[in-house]
Amino acid sequence: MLKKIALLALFCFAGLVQAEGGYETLSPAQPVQNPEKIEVIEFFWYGCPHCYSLEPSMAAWLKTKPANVEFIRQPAVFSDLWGKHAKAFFTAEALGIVEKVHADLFDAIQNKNQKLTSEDDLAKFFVAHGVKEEDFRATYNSFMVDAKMRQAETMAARYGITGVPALIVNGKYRVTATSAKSQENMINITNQLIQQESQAK
Amino acid sequence: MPQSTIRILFRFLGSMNLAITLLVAIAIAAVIGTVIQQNQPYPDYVLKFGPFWFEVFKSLELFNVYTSVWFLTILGFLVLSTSVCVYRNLPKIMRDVSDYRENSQRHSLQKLAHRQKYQSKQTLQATLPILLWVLKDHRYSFRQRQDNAGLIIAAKKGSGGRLGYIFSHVAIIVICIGGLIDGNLPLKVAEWRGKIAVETRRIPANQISAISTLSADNASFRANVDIPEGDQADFAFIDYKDGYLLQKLPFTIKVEDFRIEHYASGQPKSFESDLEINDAELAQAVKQTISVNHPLSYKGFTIYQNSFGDGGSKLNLKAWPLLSAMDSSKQLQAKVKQFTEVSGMQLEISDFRPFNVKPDPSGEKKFINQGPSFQYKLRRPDGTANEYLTYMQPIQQEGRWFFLSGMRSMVSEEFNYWFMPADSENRLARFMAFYQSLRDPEILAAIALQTASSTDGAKQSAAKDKQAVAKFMLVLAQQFVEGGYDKITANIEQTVAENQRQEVLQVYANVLQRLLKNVYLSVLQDEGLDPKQALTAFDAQFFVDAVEAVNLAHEYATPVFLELEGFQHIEATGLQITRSPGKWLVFPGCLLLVLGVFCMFYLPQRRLWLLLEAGDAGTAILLVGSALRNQYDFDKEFELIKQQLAQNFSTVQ
Repeated sequence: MLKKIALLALFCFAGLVQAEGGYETLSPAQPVQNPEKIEVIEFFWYGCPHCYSLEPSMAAWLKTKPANVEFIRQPAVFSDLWGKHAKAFFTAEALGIVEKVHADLFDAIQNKNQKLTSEDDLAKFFVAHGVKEEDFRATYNSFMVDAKMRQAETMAARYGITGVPALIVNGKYRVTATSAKSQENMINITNQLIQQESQAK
Repeated sequence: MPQSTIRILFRFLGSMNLAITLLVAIAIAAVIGTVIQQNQPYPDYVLKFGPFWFEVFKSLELFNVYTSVWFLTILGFLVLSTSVCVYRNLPKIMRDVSDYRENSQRHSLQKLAHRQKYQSKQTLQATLPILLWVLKDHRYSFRQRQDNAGLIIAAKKGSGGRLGYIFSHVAIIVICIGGLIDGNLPLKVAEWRGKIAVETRRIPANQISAISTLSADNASFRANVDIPEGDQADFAFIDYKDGYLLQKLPFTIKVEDFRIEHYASGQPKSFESDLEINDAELAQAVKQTISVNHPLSYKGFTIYQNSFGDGGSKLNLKAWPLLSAMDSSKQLQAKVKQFTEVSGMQLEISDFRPFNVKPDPSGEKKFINQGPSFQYKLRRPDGTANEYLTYMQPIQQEGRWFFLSGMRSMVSEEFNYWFMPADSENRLARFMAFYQSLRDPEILAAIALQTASSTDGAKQSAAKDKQAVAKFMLVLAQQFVEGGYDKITANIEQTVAENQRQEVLQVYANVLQRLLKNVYLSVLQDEGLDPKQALTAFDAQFFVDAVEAVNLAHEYATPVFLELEGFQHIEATGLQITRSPGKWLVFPGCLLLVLGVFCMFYLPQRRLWLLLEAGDAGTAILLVGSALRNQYDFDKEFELIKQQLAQNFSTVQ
């Protein structure tokens, strides 16, 4: 068990590449969903302490982010356990309550030591957040959430993600805690890249 | 026209024979309309019936029976025929309804089947109240007439039964006219007069010409439109013959959200759309959620939830070149139902499915989800195209995982699947690396030379011989990549005498196998595997599967393989918008029909007569009666009246 945790921790805060300017360039660049806007993707895992500690600054950044920035949360799937938590995210997304439960999911897993891996555990969590149990179960087992999960399994490889948290700016740049030297600096680097991309348009 | 001709024509139109013939014809048309699925795109019918019968059926308009000229003509004739019937019978029936038949002759009434004689000891005047009381008791209305012999009382009830005839006939006329209004008769007329023309090209709505556009004033239509989530439309399409017409709407429909639930089998369970109607005349937008059988009504327009489909999902694709190793794989983004340029060809993605549920072949679970897939055509510059169906993720077959891509050159054919083995990371990368090495003459030449040098016999032979063997290997490998084992066999059949073929084939296969193995090992080496270690069972099996996939690659017949890497699924709701003022005729018409039938069945007309004759010994009474329908009920009633009279008067046989 300990070994497993150690392995996950490795994933969670990896990235050995030295990066100039605090970011790495994606090769090839990945397409963005809306070319009119600057796309920022955050790869995360609810079980990752670093993602959790980044969360307050992300939340603050979200409030002040420029209007032309499209922000996408993307749970990373590196193992079955990560998959379970990713599925919780996609269920919340399909139910339209991500903003309501996102912070609580982090809190439950990180602080309250809840596992939230089984459907029944998650059902309790969602019911406590005002979702009808049958609605939760229907959505959790829906084909749409399944399709998102299948897509998520390939996402990390597409963006060359080896650990979380990681931010992808406009399908071109990857910002990690390692590349940015510190977690606090991730947001600064991201802002610089957004500015750079906006001017390029 | 001479008077007699009109009368003959009138008699023909009003005849029961014509009416029954027309009704039978309509019944047959309805059978055809049920058996042959109506209003499908023409190519579907060509596939189903073949080109010959398609033409025959098309000329008979069997693909849209209810709007065909002949059906509308029959309907028109039915209206005419029924109208003539009503016109001819109305005066007679109205007369019949108000007529008590008090003028009937005694001798003719005496011949009726229902009759009974009585003898009253009292005078006519004293007898009368009892008789009238009995008639009133049975709810008959009556009139009296004095004649030479005495008094005739004529009574009747149930005149509504006669009116039922009128009601039911008028109902048929009203329903048919309603049907004609809501049928596309005005459209037919406009087309015949050259005011409108069908659009057959698939072009954006704003490019459709005015002659194929119907204004928002169109009083009656049935149109469809697919609107992606978050999008809006102020028009819809009327499927018409081999194309469509654009129907403008006087308002905008915005689709806020679309939701769908599925059964475990993948079948849709329920779906609904949140709509918002924006109209310049409205201060506030109308918002309503519609689902199947729960439409939205607005200003005489009815908006039904009809279907759903893809609303232009965005797909992230990786294009792997198959013919040449010179190009590297490329990323591209394409949208469903839009055209994209790929390697000099036009990529036309027709559909994206976020899931594919199939019965589980292993039988462990009832259903398994094979994951997302997309279907597309690759159209060559000459206009011809092959169609492909590619799955995003590997699918398990006999315990191994394969990427599946189906190909067909004709829409009527089934897909033939190409099985590419998935590597240990469940990716396509290793197979593509292997295949592209085989497509790269430089790499292949180097490995061929290496292979030729490595055999025991070759170690002593001269460099020139090694070169020759390597060259031969290269040719063999190229033949294999271009046409599989079939091409190599065909070559041997052309160049080698028949008795030696088997032997030569064996040698060729061995040589090729050795080369392929070395190519595969070099791919593994590039992946970072130690070439000195023995192959794992997985890697060995992968080689077998990969060679088989290369063997069949030429059947796939495309310069590029498109791998689906990611997607953004966008759904579209399918709405049907109808405007059918004819329903305000059809529904009351139906009510009238029910009323008419009810009258005819339950209010049968009955008549009674009482013939009174004053004599010396009192009054002689004769009770007679007749009924057109429901003889059994009338028999019972007549018997009751007979008994009531018998209590008061003495019966005379």
